[in-house]
Amino acid sequence: MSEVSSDLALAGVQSSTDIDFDERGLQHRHEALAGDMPVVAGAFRAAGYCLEHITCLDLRQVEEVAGFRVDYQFNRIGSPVDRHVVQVKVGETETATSIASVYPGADWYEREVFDMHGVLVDGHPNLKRLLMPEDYRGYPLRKDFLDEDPERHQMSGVVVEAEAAQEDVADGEDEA
Amino acid sequence: MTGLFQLFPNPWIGLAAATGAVMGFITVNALFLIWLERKVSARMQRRYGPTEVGPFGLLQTLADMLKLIGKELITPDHVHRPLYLIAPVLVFAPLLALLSLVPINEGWVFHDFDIALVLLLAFSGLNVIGIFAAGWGSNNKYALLGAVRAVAQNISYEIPLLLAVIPIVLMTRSLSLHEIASAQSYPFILVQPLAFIIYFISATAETNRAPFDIPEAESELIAGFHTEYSGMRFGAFFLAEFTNMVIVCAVATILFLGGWKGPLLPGWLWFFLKVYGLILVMMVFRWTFPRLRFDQLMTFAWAILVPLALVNLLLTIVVLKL
Amino acid sequence: MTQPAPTMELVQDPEDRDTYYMNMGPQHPSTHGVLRLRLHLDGERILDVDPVIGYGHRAHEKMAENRDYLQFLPNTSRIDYLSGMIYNLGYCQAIEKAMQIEVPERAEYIRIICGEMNRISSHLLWFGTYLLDLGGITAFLYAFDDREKILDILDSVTGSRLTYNYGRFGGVSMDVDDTFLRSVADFSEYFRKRIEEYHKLVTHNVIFRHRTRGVGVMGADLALDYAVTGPCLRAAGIASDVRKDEPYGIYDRFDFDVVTAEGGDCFARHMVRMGEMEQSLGIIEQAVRDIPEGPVLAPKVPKRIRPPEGEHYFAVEAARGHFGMYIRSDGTDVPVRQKLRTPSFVHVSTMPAVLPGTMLADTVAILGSIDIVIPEIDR
Repeated sequence: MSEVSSDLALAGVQSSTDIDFDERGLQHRHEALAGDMPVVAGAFRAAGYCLEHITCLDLRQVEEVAGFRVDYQFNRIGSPVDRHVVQVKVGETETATSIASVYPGADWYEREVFDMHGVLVDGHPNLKRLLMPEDYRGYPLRKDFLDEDPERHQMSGVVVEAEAAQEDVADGEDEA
Repeated sequence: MTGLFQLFPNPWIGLAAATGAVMGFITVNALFLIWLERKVSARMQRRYGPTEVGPFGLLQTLADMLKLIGKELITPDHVHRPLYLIAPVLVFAPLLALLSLVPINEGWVFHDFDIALVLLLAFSGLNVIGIFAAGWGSNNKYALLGAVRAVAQNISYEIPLLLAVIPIVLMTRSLSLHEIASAQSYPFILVQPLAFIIYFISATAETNRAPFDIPEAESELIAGFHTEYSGMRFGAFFLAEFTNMVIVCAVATILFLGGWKGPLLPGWLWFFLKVYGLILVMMVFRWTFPRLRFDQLMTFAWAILVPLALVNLLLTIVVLKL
Repeated sequence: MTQPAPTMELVQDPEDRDTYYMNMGPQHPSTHGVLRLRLHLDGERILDVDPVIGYGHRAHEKMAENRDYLQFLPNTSRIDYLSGMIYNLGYCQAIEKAMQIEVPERAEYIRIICGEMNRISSHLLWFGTYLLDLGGITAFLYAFDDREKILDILDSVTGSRLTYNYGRFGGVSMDVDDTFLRSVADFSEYFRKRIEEYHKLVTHNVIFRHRTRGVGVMGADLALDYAVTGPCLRAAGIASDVRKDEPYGIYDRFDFDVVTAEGGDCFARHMVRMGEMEQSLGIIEQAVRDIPEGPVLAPKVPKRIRPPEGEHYFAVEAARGHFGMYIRSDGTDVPVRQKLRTPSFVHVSTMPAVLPGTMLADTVAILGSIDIVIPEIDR
C-alpha cells in the first residue's frame, strides 16, 4: 500500500491493485471515472507526486473495455519509486476530463490523446492538435485508422481487408 | 604637407587616381583579409582552412569572389526597392572617402586635411544609415531587429570611441592624422593605455565584429540586417565590414602605435604590420568569445566604457595642465 | 460536448501597434531541429510563446503497433538519435524484464560502457551546439573533435556512428575485445583533461557567465508541475536520477554521484552536464576495470517475444532525462500500444511558463540549455 492510497480512496478511485514492480515496473493500478480525475490528480499533487505521462489505448475490440482507456501515470520524484497507473475507461462517445488545472504538464499529453485517438477532453484550455497539422482529419493511433490518402496509407503497413479487395479490383483494371 | 593630391595637374585626374587606388586597395585587402580570417579561425579550431586553390589557399577568396559576382541578383518581391537597393551603396561609399585620408608613411597621404580625424569619425558614423536602410527596406522582422540593434549599438559605442580619441588630440593639439603620427617620438599607447583599450573595444563594436556581432547574430537572427541580401549585394556588405576593420585599425595605429614609425623597416611596412597585427587581434576575439546579449552590450558601453573614458580624459587634462 | 479549439489564424490585432508576432522556426539555426515557436514580442521582450511541434512526426508508436518486438528494435535508436545507444539498450532491457530473460554479466558491463560513452557524446554535442548558439563557435569544433573519438570507438564494435542497433534481447550483438577496452580507458584519461580545458575556456568565461547566469530559471516547482527530468531537474537542486531511483542493469554496483546544482538557470544546467560527463567517466573506468569474461548473449532467448498480458513500464536515464516505455501487451507478438515517454516533450511544453519576460537573445540561450532533440518530441 502506498502512502497515497487512502487519499485516493477518498478521491474516488474505484479499485486499486498492487503490482509486482520487478515484473511490471509499476506498483499500483487504479481505476477511476473520467469525472473524478481532477480530484484524483489533486490527491497525487498534494502528496508531491508528479505526472509522468498520460496515454490512451484503443481497446474497443477488447471485451472488458469496449472503448478507449486513458492511463495516467504518477510517480514520486526521487526515490524510492512509487508508480501508480490510474486507468479511466472512456466510451466512444464519452469524454475525458482535463487535469491541466492541477498539473500544467498534462496540457500537451491531453492534446496528444485528442490528436492521436480522437478522445475529447473536457475543460482543456487549448484542445488543438499537437503533432498532426491543425486541419488534419483522422485519428492516427486508432486501430481502424484509414489515412485519407490511399498511397500514404499503404506505406504505413496497415492492411485492411476491404482495402485489399479493392486492390484486386484495381489490378484487374490495370491489366485490361 | 598638403598631400599627394597636389602632385596631379588636374584635380579630376587626381580624383580618378585616388578612387582607383582606393578601390584597388579595398579589393586586395578584402582578398587578403578573408583568407586570413579563414586561416586563423581554422587553425584555432584545429582544422586547416582553405588549402586547395593556390598555394596555402591564397586564391580561394578570388575564386569565391568570382563566384559571388557571377550570382543572379535576386530582389525579393516584398522589399521596399529604393531603400533595399541603396543600402549597400550607403554602407560602402563613406569608406571609400575615408581611405584617402589615411597616411601610410611620411608624406604618403592623398590629402592632408588638418581636420582629418573629425572627418574620419563623422564619416564612419554614416554607415549606420546604410545598415538601417538595409534592415527597414528588407521588410523582414528579423532584418529589422538586426538593424535596430545595429543602430543602437553603433550610436552607443561612438561615444566612448570619441572620448578615447580626445586625449590624443589634446596631447598633440592637432586633428590631422599626419601630424599626430609624426608627433609620436614614442608611441602614445605607453601614456594612454586605457584610452587605447577603450578605443579598441569601441572600434570592434563599431565594425559589428564579435563579441559585438549581435546585428548579424547568425544563430539568433539568421543573418540580421543583411538576411535578404544575396550575391554581390551581400558581397558589398561583406567588403564594407572588412574595409571598416582596416580603417578602424589604421586610426588606432596612427593615434596610439606611432603610425609608420619604427626602426630598420620602411615606414609603410611598419604601418601595415601594425594595422594587420591589430586586425589579427580582432579576429582572435571573434573566434574566442561568445556573444554579449544586447542589453549587456549597451550596459557595457554606457555604464562602463563611458565613465572610464571620462575619467581618462579628466586625468589627461589634469596631467597636461601640470 | 467539448469541441476542439478552432484552428490557428492570423492573430495580429490591427489595433495593437506596440507588439508583434514573430516566428522562430521551423527553419532556424538555433531551434535544434524543426521546432516552431510563435513568439509574441514587445520590442525584444517576449510576452508569450506558443510552441508548435509535429514537424518531425514519424509515427514510431504506430509503427510499434504494426511490428513485433524484435522488428521494432531498430526504431528505438532513431527516437532520440543522440542517445541512440541508451534508448536501444533500454528497450532491450524493457523486454528482458517483461520476459524475465537473464542477461550475462559481460553483456551488462558492455552495456554500461557503451551507454555512458553515448551519454558523454550526447552531452558533448549539446556543449558544442550551445556555445555555437551563443556565438563561441570554436568550442563547437573542439567538442566535435572529442566526440569523433567516441564515435570511432563505438563504431569499431557496433558498426554504427549515431544510430546503434547494438542491443539484442538477452545481451548485445557483438563481443568487445581488449583493443576496445584499452581505447575506452585511453579516451577516459584523455577526456578528463579536456573537461578541465572546457571549464577554463567556457565556464570561467565572463561573457558566457553573463549570458547564462540567472537566465531561464526552471525551479523545483516546475518539476512537480510538468515532471521535468534529467539535467534540467537536477539543476534545480533535486537529486533524482533513474539510475539511482530505480536502478536497471547493474547500475547499483557502480559508485557515482548524482550531480546537482542550485538555481535552475542555464548556468546550473551547464554545470550539471559537465559534472555528469565526469561521473560517466568514473562509471566507465569502473566498468573497464571490473568487466568479467563470458558470453554476451543469453543462451536461451525465446524465439517469439510475447510479454505477459497487461501493462509494463520501464524507464532509463537517457542523456536528456527520464525515457520511459509503457507497453501494453495482449500476449501476442505485436504490442497493443507502446507509449514512448520522452523527456524533451515535457521540456518544450514548459517553454510557455519559462520564456515570457525574457529577451529574445535569452530564448536562444534557454532553448539551448534545456537540450532538446525534436525527433524525440514528435516521435
